[in-house]
Amino acid sequence: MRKFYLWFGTVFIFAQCRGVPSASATEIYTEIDSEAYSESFSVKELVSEIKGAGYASGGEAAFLHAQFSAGARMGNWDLAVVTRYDAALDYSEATARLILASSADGDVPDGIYNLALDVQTVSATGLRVGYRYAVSEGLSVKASLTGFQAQNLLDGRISGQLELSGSADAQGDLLLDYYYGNDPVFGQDADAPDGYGYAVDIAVNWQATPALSFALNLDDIVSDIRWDAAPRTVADATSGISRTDEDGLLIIRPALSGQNSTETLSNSYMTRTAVQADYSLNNTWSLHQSVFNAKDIWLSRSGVDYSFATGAKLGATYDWIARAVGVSGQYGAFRFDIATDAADLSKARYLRAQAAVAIIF
Amino acid sequence: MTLPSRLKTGTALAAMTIFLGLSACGGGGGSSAGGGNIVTPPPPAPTGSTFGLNGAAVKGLIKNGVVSVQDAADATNVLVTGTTSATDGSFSVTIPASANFDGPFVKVIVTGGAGATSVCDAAAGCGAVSFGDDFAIDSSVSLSAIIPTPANNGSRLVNVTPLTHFASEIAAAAPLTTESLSQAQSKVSNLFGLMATDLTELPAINVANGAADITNADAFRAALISGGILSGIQDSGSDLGAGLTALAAEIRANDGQLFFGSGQSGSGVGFDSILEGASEVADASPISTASKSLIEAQLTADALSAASADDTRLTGSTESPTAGAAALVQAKAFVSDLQLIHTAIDDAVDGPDFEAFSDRVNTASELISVDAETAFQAIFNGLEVMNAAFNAYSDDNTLTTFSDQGLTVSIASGADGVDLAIANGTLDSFALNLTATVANSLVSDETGSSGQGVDTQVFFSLDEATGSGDASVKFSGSAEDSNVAVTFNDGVISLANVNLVVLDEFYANNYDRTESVSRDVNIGEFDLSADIDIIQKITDGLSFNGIFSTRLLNANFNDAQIDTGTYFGRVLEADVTSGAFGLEATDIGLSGKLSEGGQSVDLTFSLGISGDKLSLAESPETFTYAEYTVTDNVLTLDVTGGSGTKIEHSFVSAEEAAMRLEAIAAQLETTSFVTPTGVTLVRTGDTNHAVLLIDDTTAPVLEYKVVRATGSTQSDITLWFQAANVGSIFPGDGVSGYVPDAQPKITDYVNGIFASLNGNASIGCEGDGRLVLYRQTPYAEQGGVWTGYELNQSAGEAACLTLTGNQSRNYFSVPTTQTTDPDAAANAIFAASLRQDIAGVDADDKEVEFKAFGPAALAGGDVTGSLTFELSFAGRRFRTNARDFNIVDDLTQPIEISNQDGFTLTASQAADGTLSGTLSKDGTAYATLTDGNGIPLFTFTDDSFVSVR
Repeated sequence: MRKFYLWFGTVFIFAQCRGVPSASATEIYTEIDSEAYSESFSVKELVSEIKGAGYASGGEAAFLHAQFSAGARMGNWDLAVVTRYDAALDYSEATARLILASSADGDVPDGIYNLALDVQTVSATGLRVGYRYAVSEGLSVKASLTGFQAQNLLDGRISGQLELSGSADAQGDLLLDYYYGNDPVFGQDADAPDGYGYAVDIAVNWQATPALSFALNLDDIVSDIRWDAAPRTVADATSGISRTDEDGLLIIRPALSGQNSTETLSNSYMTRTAVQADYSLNNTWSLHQSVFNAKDIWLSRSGVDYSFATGAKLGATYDWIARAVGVSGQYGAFRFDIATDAADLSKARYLRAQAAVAIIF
Repeated sequence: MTLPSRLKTGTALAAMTIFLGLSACGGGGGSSAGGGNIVTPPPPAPTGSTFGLNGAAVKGLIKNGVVSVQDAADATNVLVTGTTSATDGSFSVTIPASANFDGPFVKVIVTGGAGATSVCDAAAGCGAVSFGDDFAIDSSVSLSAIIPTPANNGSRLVNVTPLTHFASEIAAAAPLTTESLSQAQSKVSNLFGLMATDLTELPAINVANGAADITNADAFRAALISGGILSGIQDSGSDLGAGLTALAAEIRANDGQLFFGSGQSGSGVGFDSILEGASEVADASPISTASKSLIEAQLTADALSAASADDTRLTGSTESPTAGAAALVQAKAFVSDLQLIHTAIDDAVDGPDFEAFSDRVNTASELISVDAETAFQAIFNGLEVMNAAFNAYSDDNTLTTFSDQGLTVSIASGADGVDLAIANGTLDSFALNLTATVANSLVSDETGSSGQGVDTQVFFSLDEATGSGDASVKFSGSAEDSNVAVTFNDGVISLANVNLVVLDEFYANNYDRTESVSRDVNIGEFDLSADIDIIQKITDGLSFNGIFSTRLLNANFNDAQIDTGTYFGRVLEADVTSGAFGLEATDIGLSGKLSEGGQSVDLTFSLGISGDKLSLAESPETFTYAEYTVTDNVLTLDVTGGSGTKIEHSFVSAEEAAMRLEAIAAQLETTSFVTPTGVTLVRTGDTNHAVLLIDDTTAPVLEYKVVRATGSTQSDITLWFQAANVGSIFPGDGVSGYVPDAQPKITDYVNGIFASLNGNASIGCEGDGRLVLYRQTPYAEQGGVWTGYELNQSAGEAACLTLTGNQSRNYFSVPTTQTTDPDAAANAIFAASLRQDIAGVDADDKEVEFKAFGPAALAGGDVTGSLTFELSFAGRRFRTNARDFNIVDDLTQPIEISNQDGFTLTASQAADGTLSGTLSKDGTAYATLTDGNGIPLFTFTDDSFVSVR
């Protein structure tokens, strides 16, 4: 950690000395890009233990993207080593309510719960190659291709219905179908698979007028991960464990039964799309507005930046949907952007932390 | 930035565990198999295949029997013949290729004939042939076994027994397939409580060979049952060949079932008689290993259970639902059945119906227990009156009636002995009807001294028992009041090989009553059995209908200290309890149906005890002292000093107190009273002796008696009482010194009884309120009139006696703290079963039976042993390994559970509570048990899995 600070400080000072990089410069850089949003539960609880702090009703999705990259840009080329972790969840509101109720105090209200949970997590490490192409003056397109090896597979879904009525045993059925490296449900031993895949990012920048610019980022617009011999479990959980057959014999179905197998799986990343418009009021102040989409999640952010020196600015943002407040800043080749919707980070359902620093030659 | 993988447990697992937690639906088990796979016959052997068959024919061992191997589908196609060994019944034949046999099944038949013999394995012998000896069997005796045809050039074991014969008969009743053959074998296995999947491969055991290897418990049980079958056939009056044929036909006709009793049975052989015979064979077998005892105990319990069942009912066993199925199917069924057990049975037992039933039974039991106990007491009292009547008849055989305690006994000499009857008597508010027939067989012929003939005292106490030989009493009767009715039917008490002639010494030598000798007393083999009905007389009240039996084998008192006194030439008292009581063995069994309302549970309990020294009922502790000190009401005894007459205080068990009181009570023959100064002594009601209720159940009873300097006990004065503290029985606190031959003074008196012979002693109340025992004429020979007094509170003497008397005979007092002799040692075999209909398990076979059995040993005050548990229902049978008492529910010690398909689950629980295990058959694992994330899973070899609770 001490070396990291030393390295970070050196880069920061160096960047201060060299100012803002030009498009033709060669630079080495490192970036952290993380963003997480959960419509129902706090991000912290989502990755640890759900207790209900920060819960918001009505949610049906969550995503988490965390990426670290280190590389070099030379002219229009960009080459970097990337490691990333991604998680995406879709679920029914009833599922969230059930999880909340049972996790908070165990007293689950009666009712019929239509359960649906779709989850995907993947961690990957690979090499990214990007190329920026100037279509015209003010308009450029950058395409990046990342090839990677993936681990920590979890890709599956749970669906079913549960009916709670008074003190009677719950009734219902639940279907599970998931691929995994480590079985999160039954803890079964399995050989964790490795996946291999690629992902394509597209970034478009258009300086429409000296004061107005637009940016479009299509991350993982195309991706595919192939997992050979991925452990898969298909299971059925049911409360209807007994019935009587035609011979009068009581048939007891297991509460859980299923079939394990190893199969080839192809899955892909969730595409994240962001559109942003920047408008400079003057040399000091500028405004920006962006819209973000990932699957069913939409976020809208407004911001204002204040430039207090060349290549140096501070900004503030507000996410209208996530209701998150953020600050950003840039000083030469160093920039950061952090945001949260709660001062108590343990209750935050939206967290954004981005930072980058570069050494320009 | 690395995110923890808890995301998955925070969501996916959460949803899962929530569901599971909320649903409370136990998991596990695949569908209850029902043997759903289609099993096809094995491919036929190539034309002209050759194979060998070897085995043994056992019905006892069949020697020089004719072996015939046939095409199972064509009896006329005899493939080869042979002969069983003349020594061990074994055979070995080879079917030649020239036989041109290509069928899927062969049938091996062993028959008797000229020169053929069988070892007699019926406990009672086979006609004139004793158990273990050979007897001739003719060609009507035929046993068979059907097996799949071995592969070309292969061979296999095929033992031929009555059980394989039954299985082949059942299998032959339908188109023969591997599955039908397995089902037939399973039916027979389950009928007779075996775990074997292939009866033809059970090792052949000669039960008459003491050196036989019975490591395979199933094989030994099967051999015992084979002997039981012979016993049953003999009891039915058939010869072996005809009986076997009839029995096989009956089993075949009833789809593998037998009638519990012989009455409805076409063969005349009831299931109960087979099991009873098997139990007797086990007893007769010279094999003497621990495992034999355990199997014998199981059989005894099973025989009891069968004997108590409805005679007209067919047995209800069915074949394993997975008999003949593929191993993986059976493995999945094993797990499914575990789930079925857990869910169906647990839910039933915990269900509202069963809980309500259990609650009602508990409540009713509490209500009925007091009434029933009183009713039993009334019956026993009635029997004692009958005993007195018989004694009177022995002295004067012209008597036709005898009256005592308000009961009149009619006496008549019948063909089987002396018939005694109490008709419509009333005793202690109970309507009493009793009949008894005392067989004229126990005769004091050794000395001929007393000429008393039959002496039924032997049945009720040893005090006047004498003679040697065999004896039996048959009795029936009932006691009924407004609350309860207790009925005995077909009761039999029998004694065999009694040797009480030692007591005749006293008649012969006319010993003075103060003499004391040491002798061995043997009461031989004691058997008691009776059908018992107990009915609570309210609507849907509790009832018990069953049988009780007990047997003491070679019960004896070694070096019994026999203190005697004569009374008009009769032995007055023979106190044999001071000797070491020993038994070769004892069996106690109880079986029957406990019903309440519309529900019932069948109960069976069996206990077999054996040991060189069994002194559980021995008088626990005796203080004999010469000097004492009493300080702060603490008594300190000095046993080293002093001489001459002593006063002995003994802490006496309730049972012993009761027994001795009975002995005194029997001698009370006067209605006169002695009224010592200051105390009103009242004779108790209609009874012949005085008693007080000793109702303090927290303190032992203290017996006071005078002991002569010679060590003999003066039996003419005896007093039982409870005092508030020991010190208070002495003149006062702070007193010490030599204990004189003088009366003790009793203060802080709680309660007790007083009895003296011919007024030798009396009690009085001192002016200071102390109760004083006066001994008036010590050691004087008396005329033999005992007097009993109830100690009642007298007007103006409240400080002397604080308790009122009780008109009942509840002198039973308290258990002493010394219940076992520290040196006592005994070995016991315990077997118990519960059978309950569980609705929903199987509409056609709702009986679920739970058994627990195992050995126990008492040594050095410690009890050790193990228990094996077995659960059977609807063709399933699960049995645990023997679990030591100290780990019986400790799953950290691996547990093995086997089932009727030959699978064994070996599982254990780690310290963190997680389970692990393997389910295997014949050494091959078919499933593993894991416990990830708190969800125990069985994962099968085809990668399917199920959860279990």
